[in-house]
Amino acid sequence: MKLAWWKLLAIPMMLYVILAGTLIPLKPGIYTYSPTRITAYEDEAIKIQGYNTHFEAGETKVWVKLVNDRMVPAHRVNVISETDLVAHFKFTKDFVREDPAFADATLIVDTPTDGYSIAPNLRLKASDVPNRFGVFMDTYPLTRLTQVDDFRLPFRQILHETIRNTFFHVAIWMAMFLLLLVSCYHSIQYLRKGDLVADRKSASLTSVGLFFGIAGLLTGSMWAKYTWGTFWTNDIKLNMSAIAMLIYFAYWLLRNSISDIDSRARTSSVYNLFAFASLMILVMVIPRFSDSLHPGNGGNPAFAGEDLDNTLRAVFYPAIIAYTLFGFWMAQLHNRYLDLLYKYND
Amino acid sequence: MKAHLLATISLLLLTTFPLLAQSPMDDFFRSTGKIYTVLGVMVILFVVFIVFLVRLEGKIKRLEKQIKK
Amino acid sequence: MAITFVVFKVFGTLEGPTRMGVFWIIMVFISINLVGYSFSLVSDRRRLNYYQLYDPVEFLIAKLLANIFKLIVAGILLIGLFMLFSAQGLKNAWLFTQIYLLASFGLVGVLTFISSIAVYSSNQMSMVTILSLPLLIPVMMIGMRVSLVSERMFFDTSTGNSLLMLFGIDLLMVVLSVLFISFTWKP
Repeated sequence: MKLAWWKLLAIPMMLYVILAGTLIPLKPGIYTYSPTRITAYEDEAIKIQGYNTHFEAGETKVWVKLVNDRMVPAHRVNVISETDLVAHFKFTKDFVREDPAFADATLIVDTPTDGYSIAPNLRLKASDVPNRFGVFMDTYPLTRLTQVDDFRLPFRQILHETIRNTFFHVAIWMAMFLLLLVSCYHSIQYLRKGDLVADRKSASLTSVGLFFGIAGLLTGSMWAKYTWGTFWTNDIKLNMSAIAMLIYFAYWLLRNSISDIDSRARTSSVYNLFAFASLMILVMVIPRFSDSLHPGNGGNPAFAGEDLDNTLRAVFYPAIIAYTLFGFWMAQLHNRYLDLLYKYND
Repeated sequence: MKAHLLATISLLLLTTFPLLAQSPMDDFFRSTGKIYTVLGVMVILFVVFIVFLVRLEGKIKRLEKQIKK
Repeated sequence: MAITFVVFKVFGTLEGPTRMGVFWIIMVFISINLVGYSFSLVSDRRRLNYYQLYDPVEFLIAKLLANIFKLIVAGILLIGLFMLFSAQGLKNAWLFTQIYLLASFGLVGVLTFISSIAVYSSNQMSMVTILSLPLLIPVMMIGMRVSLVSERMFFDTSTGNSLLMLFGIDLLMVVLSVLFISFTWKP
């Protein structure tokens, strides 16, 4: 048996996605630190727990980056193990003089082997204790960090290892969009030429697209449980995708409820185009106008620029292609079944 | 039979891939439970693909029976 | 009307968010009944007659206008009843009128289109509901949200955006139905 070239391509790509998606390690990062709220005082110890890090005594530097983009260095760093250290800071109240409330700061750990890693949301409060040292704190501009470029996945707060789901959850949605787009192309072909072959192709692609969409919803639900806390949030994009899937489910019902072949093909082609337009509105347009937890909506950063770094890209794009090719493969099998059914009924 | 064998092998492979990445940090990784989310997501995808195949096979079987008659 | 009466009997008095929620739900039911079956409750011979007499696009536009008229009249009656029963006027009548008209157009656009599609299915009655409900949900969600703002339940600066979006949806529905009617409308 000889497989078509794109099917042969799909297999190693899928394998690459599964292997690379699970085996490429995460970049080092700060997993937790405590305390997260500190009052600016003479000596403050922050305990830091790293993830995939290699802290070395004498080499590791710890900084607190302030709102004004200046950095306060730790005057003493106690490295306990490769992943644990305690950093001692001499905070004075001078740097937060303007703002008596808690000020946002960022914790930065810099090691020569790992490069720098950052942890946001350190809250600093000015104290009323007079500055015993009588000097302003030394602050440094933001240029002294070690940058290490390696082929590893970015470390993101909260997401951590689940960033790998980009290759499985986000990519399957993208593949679904591509499949449904091609399905629409066949629907238009049917409406223009009246060729039932095109209608059957469109039906197969839509049915695979529906399966991919259900997979996208389920995987999204799984991912949401571990990042947002519940299986189903009231997130707009989530609800809109669910509605879009209902529309495609209605398409499937509609197709099964019409017995006359020609009117079935005509009606379902029209409804398919209609459903795709609604899908675009529901998933791509509406969430952008309201608050959403998904990236790219409601003021959240999109999956572009900083968020999608080169390592992610190197697996994410092949993942989309691999799922799409698999989708076409599944659709082709389904389509061959439909062709046989048609010939038999004829 | 062949399909079932393939399915079992793929499932085994899928579940063991994250386990291959052994390092001293492993216990800590697992304690956060995050890697299991990725595993769960992959299993869901796999299950959806299998459901599609099983349904398609059911349909084809029905057609085969009809043709035989 | 009877539904409205029953609803008020059940709830006693309706205020604020529930009033608007119930209003829109009743509107959906009314519109499904008024508009959803506008293509299907016609005998085959009459449909053939229409088909020979009119251009499909003209026919669709006539249907749309008639349906909008019907739904708006029904809606005004409904609003009147609501105000009568809850003895409470609309707080921001202008905003409510805007959202009411736009949402009505949306309902009519979706349902007229779905109605023209569902004609060929074997069980038209349930098919209209199944096909249209997922499309009606977003229209309803926006409508309910803005009408709650109009009731001063909470403040929202993005009502302009919502109205614009609803208008976009309406426009898209009308354009799509005009584009596709010549394919679907065949006896």
